[in-house]
Parts: sequence; C-alpha cells; structure tokens
Amino acid sequence: MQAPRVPHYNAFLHVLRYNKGQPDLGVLLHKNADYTLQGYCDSDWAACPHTRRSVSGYVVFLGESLISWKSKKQGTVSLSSAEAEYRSLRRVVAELSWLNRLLNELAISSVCPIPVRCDNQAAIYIAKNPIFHERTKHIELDCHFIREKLMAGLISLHHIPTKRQLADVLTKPLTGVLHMDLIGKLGVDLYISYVNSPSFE
Amino acid sequence: MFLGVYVDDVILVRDGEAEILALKQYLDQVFKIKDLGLVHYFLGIEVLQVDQGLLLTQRKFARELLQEFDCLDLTPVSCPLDITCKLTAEEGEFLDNPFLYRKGIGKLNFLTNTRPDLAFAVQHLS
Repeated sequence: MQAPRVPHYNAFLHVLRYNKGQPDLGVLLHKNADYTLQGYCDSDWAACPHTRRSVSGYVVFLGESLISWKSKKQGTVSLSSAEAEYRSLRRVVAELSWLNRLLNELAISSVCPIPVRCDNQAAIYIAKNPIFHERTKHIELDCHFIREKLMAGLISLHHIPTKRQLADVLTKPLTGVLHMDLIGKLGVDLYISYVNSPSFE
Repeated sequence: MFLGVYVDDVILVRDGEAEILALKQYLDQVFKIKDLGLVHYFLGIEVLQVDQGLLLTQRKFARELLQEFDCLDLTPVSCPLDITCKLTAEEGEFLDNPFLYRKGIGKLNFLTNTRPDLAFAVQHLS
C-alpha cells in the first residue's frame, strides 16, 4: 500500500473482474428466531512472503445467518502453524465474548458454551491443557485469555476437518469452484436468485 | 422494540405493527418525520425483503465502482485472486498514480461490509 506497483494494480483489476461477474452478491439474514452463536476460525501460517506473518480469518454465525467475519494479517510472526491458529482463535473468542454481551444487552439469552470450530488439533490441545510449555511460553497472554473463557464456560472448542472449515475462504486464495462453494455455504447469496423466484412480489 | 439512529435516519425493529405505528405517530408529532415504509436502503446498504429473511447487498456501489475503473470491457472471472500470481514488494514498475490504487482498495474495503467473499482479497492487496 505504501508503494503499490503494476502487479498490485493488475491484481486489483482481477478483483474487479470477479466483482463484475458477481456484483449482486449479498449476505442473507434468516428470519427464524435461532439465537445460537457459533464461530469458525482458521489461519494461513507464514502467508506473507516478506514478513512471514500469518493470516487469520474467522466467521461467526447467529443461527443460520452470517453476522461477523474478518480476514487479517497477524501483527507478529508465529513460529508454528498451531501458534498462528491460536492467535486467530483469540480473535474469534474476543469477538464472541463481545457478541454474547451484546445479545444479553438486547435481552436475548444466548446458549453457552458457544462452539468454536478450528481445524488445528494442536491449538485446541494448547487451550485445554493448563500447563505452559517450551513452545507456548511466548504466547502466554493469548493462552490465558482463551483458557479463561474456556473455563468460564463461554466457549467450547471442537475440531473440524479442513474441508468443512468455512473460514478457509478468508485465509487463502481458492480456485473458482471451491470459492463459490464456500461462499455459498457462508450464506452469501445472489440478489437475482430471489428476484426471479415466483414468490418475489 | 429496537431503534437504530444514524444522524437523521432511523430504523425501527419490532414484531407487531401497531406499536411501530404508534411510535411513528409520536415521533412525527415531536420531530415531523418522513415515513419511508419498510427498510430498503440504510447506510449505503440495500435491504431486500425475501421469504427467508433479509438480503443485504451493495449492488449500486459495486456497479459504480466498476464504472469508475472502466471495467466494462474486462471479462469476468470466477475467483477474486489469481492463485498463480505471487505479489511482492520489489517486482514491477511503480504506479504513476498510487492514489488511484489506494482509492480503489478503500472502495473495495467498504464493499466487504456485505461481501465476505472479497474480504481476503482486500486484506491481501492492502
């Protein structure tokens, strides 16, 4: 961003070409009264070729509706994929604890623990095991935060196979078919599919 | 009842039309409001009422963005980023007008409000 070059601009035009094909996509908010939260988090370890920082991504669902998502390059270098995953886990847990409080404020009782799905077993083990190890002592703050929320019963951690990981699309570039498949599962829908349906007034 | 206020735009949320009507009448007495009916445009986001719920889009903004960057002749592609293309900070010529690029990325960033499919691409390019 400080010094953009021609390849960057070409990549930007590529995004616009994609957008040209799909300008009518939007997020569908379902009207059913399902107030259960759930989160998915993923990371791409050492994704940036220069700084070797990782990318974290998460999605949060309220019932069937996608309400929150984020794709962000992490601020520091992670030494292992588990550590990168753990940092993205911290982000989604922070988001969930805020959303949980917001729902309570709106007088909606949410179901705790909120399931958080992550495709890295090691990261889940770090959260569940209350002992600090050689390789986690430098991410102590993140460890304490997630463990505290886990102990307090706000979240529960579950493993999910990578191919069912919905946050994948926010951490790495995917090919066309896989990309469309995943965003379809996220509840990103085409405007046109509703306008042409017979039920539309 | 929930009341969302942005400067002089207000949305009311509640099941039960009578209460909404009563509040609107009260607000009209005090402030003189213009009733636009069901929400269809708020904070630059278009709201479409469908059977399953609400569909949030930024169709107008997405189209204007394409026009602004002269994309009418470009062919559409099926994914936001070219997966074979590796971007680095050292290769290629500098852009003559970096502001144009920054402006474009800023606009794409606004578009991610309703487009999670673009979130990674925008993150990658900024």
